[in-house]
Amino acid sequence: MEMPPLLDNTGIIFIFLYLFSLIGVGLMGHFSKKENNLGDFYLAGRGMGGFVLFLTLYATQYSGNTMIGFSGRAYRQGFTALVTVTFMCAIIGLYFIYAPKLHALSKKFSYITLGDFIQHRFKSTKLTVFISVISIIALGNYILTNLKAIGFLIHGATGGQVSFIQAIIVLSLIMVIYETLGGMRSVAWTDMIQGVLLLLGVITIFIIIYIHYGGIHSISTKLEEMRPEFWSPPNWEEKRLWLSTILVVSIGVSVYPHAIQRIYAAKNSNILRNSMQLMIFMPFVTTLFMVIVGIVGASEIEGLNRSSSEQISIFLLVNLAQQIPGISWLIIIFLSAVIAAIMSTVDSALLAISSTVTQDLYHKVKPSVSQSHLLLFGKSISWLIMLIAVILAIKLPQTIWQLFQIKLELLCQIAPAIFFGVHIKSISSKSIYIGLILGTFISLFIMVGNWSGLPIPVKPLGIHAGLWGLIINCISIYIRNEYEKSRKVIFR
Amino acid sequence: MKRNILYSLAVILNVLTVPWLFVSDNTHTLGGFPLWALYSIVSTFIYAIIISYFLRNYWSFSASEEGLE
Repeated sequence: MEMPPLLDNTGIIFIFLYLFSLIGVGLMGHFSKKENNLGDFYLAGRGMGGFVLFLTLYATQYSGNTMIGFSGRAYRQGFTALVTVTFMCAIIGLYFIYAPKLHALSKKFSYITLGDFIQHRFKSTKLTVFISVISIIALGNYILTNLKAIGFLIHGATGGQVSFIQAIIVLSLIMVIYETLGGMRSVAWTDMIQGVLLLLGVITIFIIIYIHYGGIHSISTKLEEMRPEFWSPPNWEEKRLWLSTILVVSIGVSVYPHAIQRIYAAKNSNILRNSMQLMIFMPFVTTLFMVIVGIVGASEIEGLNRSSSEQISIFLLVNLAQQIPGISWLIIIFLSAVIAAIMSTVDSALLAISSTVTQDLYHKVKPSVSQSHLLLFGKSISWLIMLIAVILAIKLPQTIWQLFQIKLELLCQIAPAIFFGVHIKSISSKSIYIGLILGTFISLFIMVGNWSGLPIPVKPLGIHAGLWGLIINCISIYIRNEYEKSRKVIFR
Repeated sequence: MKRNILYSLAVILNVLTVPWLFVSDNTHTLGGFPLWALYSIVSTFIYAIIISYFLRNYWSFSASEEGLE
């Protein structure tokens, strides 16, 4: 389905003004710094208040996928896309298991990165480095896929007036400038703006589409004729896949290193607890709304393929703007919200990589260097990573693009180190290390094996590769732990 | 309540949000939603309320030093 340019010159100017205003926010973050050290730069001085914390958690957790991917999925799969609402809630359910204790530990021992906790808990540099490398790869892939998405979006929305390459370069520059100006403070403050924009965007678009096209109730008869498969409950295999999706996404996302840094950055436990209490209800006004928009879209527009269906919200808005002149501002709001959602996730991932490389890798090699030296190194790393990401997003051949989509499968494997590490004192670094290697190997073997043509299904028995890896990971940890316990009894 | 029971409950409630009991001949609707889809939304909302309650009342308990063992 062909689409006219969504933005006229006024729209393009509005969006670019908004984007450049983020640099101003970055400058505010720079002038608000209290100390010249890593804790102040990467964790905003560990003093993040309730309002900022909630909005930065919200903006970071909901990426462009919420605005584009979830409604596209609902367009294609119907009501089974409701799994997205559940897994977004389940992420907070998993935080409940480890965040209270990790937050308390971070205050006591001044952690800056996930690696700080791993090193302190397991006293193993080998394990810390391995987990840091997995985090960097997963976050790097995240940045790359989001940069590509934003490039295509702006190129399409401006009807080619801004090219794919120009869009990626300009947006990356803006993000890296405000990030290196004020670190977490700038990122969290820009997240506030982006979070508000995202929430307002989703709610406005949902209400307008709901009013104009009618809700699920008014379209259900039409939709029942057009897409009868939407009404059948999932069969046993689909239900297994449903559960597997909830587990793999919620476990992977709950251990995002940039989300963990926000747990450290909260001013106190009450503020963190209140933010999470509010966060658990956000899928009902964000994810659920976009799923309903996708289902309404399926009753209005037929025959979109996979990539076109990702733009179903935009198609509905364009239709609406053609019928009701004067509401083209809705398209600007929607696009601003998508851009905000993508940027708030990319800048947080960039900051997390920069802190991981600086604190968990470089600082270990050069333990005696000053804080200002580390800060300078961290900022340089941000620029370097962004440069590499931009080059890869522009130049990467499509044939190896699949490799860069492995994120959650890898992150799932580091979850036992956090969940068990926080609560179970007897688990050793060796158990976690062996489990991590086995889990990572199994996940990659299934995924890469499938892509390279081996007779391995991408989701054996309807279960994601990352979950198979995690199951083997946990079994291995259990066996090793029992073995270590029995040896202790023998030698006592 | 023991900590491992509390965490197991959080996980089990999550597993229950999958519409396990709805079979293919069940295509009744309510408010435009198929019943199984409505079940997924409502059960997820109940899950959210319970986790919110856990966060409010068991945060300090979850943060305390005693391990699961």
